[in-house]
Amino acid sequence: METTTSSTAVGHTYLMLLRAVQLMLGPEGDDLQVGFHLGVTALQLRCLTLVRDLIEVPGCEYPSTIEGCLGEAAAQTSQWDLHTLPPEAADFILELADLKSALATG
Amino acid sequence: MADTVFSAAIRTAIASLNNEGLTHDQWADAATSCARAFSSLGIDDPTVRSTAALGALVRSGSTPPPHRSSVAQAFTQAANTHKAHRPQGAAREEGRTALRIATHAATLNSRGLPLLLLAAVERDLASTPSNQAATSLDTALRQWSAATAMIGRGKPNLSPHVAVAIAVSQRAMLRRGRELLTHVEVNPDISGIPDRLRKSIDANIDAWSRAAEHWYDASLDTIPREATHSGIRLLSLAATDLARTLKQDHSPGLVLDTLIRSGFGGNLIAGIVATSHTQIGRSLVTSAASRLEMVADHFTDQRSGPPFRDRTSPAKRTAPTPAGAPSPAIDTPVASTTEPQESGLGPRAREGLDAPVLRLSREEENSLAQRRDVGVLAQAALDKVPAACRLTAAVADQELQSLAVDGRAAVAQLVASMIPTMVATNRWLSAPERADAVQNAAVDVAKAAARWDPNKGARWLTFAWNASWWASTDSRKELDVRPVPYEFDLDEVGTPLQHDTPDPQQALLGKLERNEQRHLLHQIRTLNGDQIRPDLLAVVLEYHGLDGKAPKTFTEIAMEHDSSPTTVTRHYREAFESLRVLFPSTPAAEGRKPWRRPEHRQQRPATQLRR
Repeated sequence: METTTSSTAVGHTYLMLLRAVQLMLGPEGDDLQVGFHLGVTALQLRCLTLVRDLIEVPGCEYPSTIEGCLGEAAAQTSQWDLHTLPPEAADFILELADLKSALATG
Repeated sequence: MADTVFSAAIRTAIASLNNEGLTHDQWADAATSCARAFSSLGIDDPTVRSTAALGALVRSGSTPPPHRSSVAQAFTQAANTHKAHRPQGAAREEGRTALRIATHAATLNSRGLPLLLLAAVERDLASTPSNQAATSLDTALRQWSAATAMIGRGKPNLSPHVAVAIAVSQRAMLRRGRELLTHVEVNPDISGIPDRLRKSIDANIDAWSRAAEHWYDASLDTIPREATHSGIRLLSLAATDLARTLKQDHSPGLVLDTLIRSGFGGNLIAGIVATSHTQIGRSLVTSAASRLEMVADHFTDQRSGPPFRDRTSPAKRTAPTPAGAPSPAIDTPVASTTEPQESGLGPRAREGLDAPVLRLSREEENSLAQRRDVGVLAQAALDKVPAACRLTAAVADQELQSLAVDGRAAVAQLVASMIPTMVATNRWLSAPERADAVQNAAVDVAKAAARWDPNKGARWLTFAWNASWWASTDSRKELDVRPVPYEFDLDEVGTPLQHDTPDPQQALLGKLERNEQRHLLHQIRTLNGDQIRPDLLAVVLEYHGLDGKAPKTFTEIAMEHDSSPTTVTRHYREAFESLRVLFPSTPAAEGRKPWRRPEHRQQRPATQLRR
């Protein structure tokens, strides 16, 4: 399958969410509500259904905080080609933005 | 990113969404530009046109903003694109998606009425209606459990990408359970020990955490290839529902009870599914989960009433149950009542109807009856009934409102206090049948609450039980005389039909056997510990539909357990042999009508002469 900027961006988003899930297992995650944990996990699974061709993302640096990971994941969504992705990709983008916003506002 | 008609608009809308959002003026400008672009491209979309018209409602001034947003500029740019650039249908969807994302970006800076308006616009613009209906926590947990089981079916090893998500979700549910344990009091009549439950939950959290770390490391070396797997989509939807329902502010006791009754969303199933096939015997997760299942089992017993009661009163809870959320189950520690027609209460404000289940003293019952009467009078005055208006002429409307609400709360409290009795009366029924019977009884109890007069001497529980017992019995009679389906398959019926009329001896033997089976099945429900092998007991429960599902045949059970019907039949017999040893049949259990509760009959003392 041809690798495009969009598919790389989807893969990048997924890796950021996976990293956020891993950070939630640490002390940072203990301060967050359980609903937030489940929300991030749900997004990780939903993004997994969108990933078609996860490749090595060049120069991918993982932020050290959950907020950083979600911010980076959300930023990558502007590179997505929505017309090559299933319709639920738009819902995913909106929910990721909401989750990021909820974390930022506490 | 491929260059399409509205790709720039989508890109800029997402960028706005992830930064500061859009102001109302910027959104209105973008909506107008989008409508113009559609018009210029020859696309007819009434939703986009009406959205542009609504822009005027949220705009702060009549003139466009001095600095146009990048989203509006992108829409204007799209208007100048050649018509044949992309098929109209696809361009329409893209344009709507861009406007939808822009609308969501505007909601970030909105409150009150504009927020409601924008949310409605966003819903209209969605190409597929999103399933935002709030499911109950119970349903969400069952869906999660089913999705987990489905994703692991036939797969010896689950992908670490999915396993890590399952681990974090299970850990989150267990954490929620541990948090809630500090907010509830445990019913002292329950045989379970809270400390054991807490330690067992902690052990599970620890096991899942370690497993999740391991799977995370493994996932970094594995390329996910399950994109086409519909199971992951199902699992992600179930996780979304769980996240949504767990955020709702229900009573802690109710949530904890639901979590435990669902085995923390099928914690053991999740452990088996997520663990590698070759590791199951040595897996920390599965062994911890099976121990938790045994400990938590004691807290699922509802015979002594609800297992948990909230430490904080409902009034102290921060937010009410959101509108549209399903009402709590009837056999839970919080009850909402339907208003009886006789009380004269209309279908108006139902606030304050959540009531904890309490055991009432006579004084409390009388006080509730007085509050109920005052509430009825206040409501009548609010409804402009002349006699009530004369009596309450000196009372302000605001006070009447609060008295009416208080009266409804008193009725709810009376009904709630009856719930344990209603549940106990029907406790030997399977869960769905019990819910029906309790609901039937609850309707009569609500009516009884409207007409109960403490001055006549009867206590509330006595009065309510006399008013409602027949409803429960009636439900059970309906179950007992369920008609045989017109078309049926012998294999599905479960027990072979007898074509010839049995002779009296056969009939007597059959009756004795049925009585004994009924007695044993009743005893099964009273099992407290691990007195019988779980796999044997499971066969009995599934065959007789005591697990809350429809009864199954041996063939069906065999197929589900990947076994043979002969083995299942043998398990059934072994289970009954064990049960016979544990619970020898007593003469008192024989010859009883099926809807008569055995333990309601007091044993006659041995010394007393029988008539």
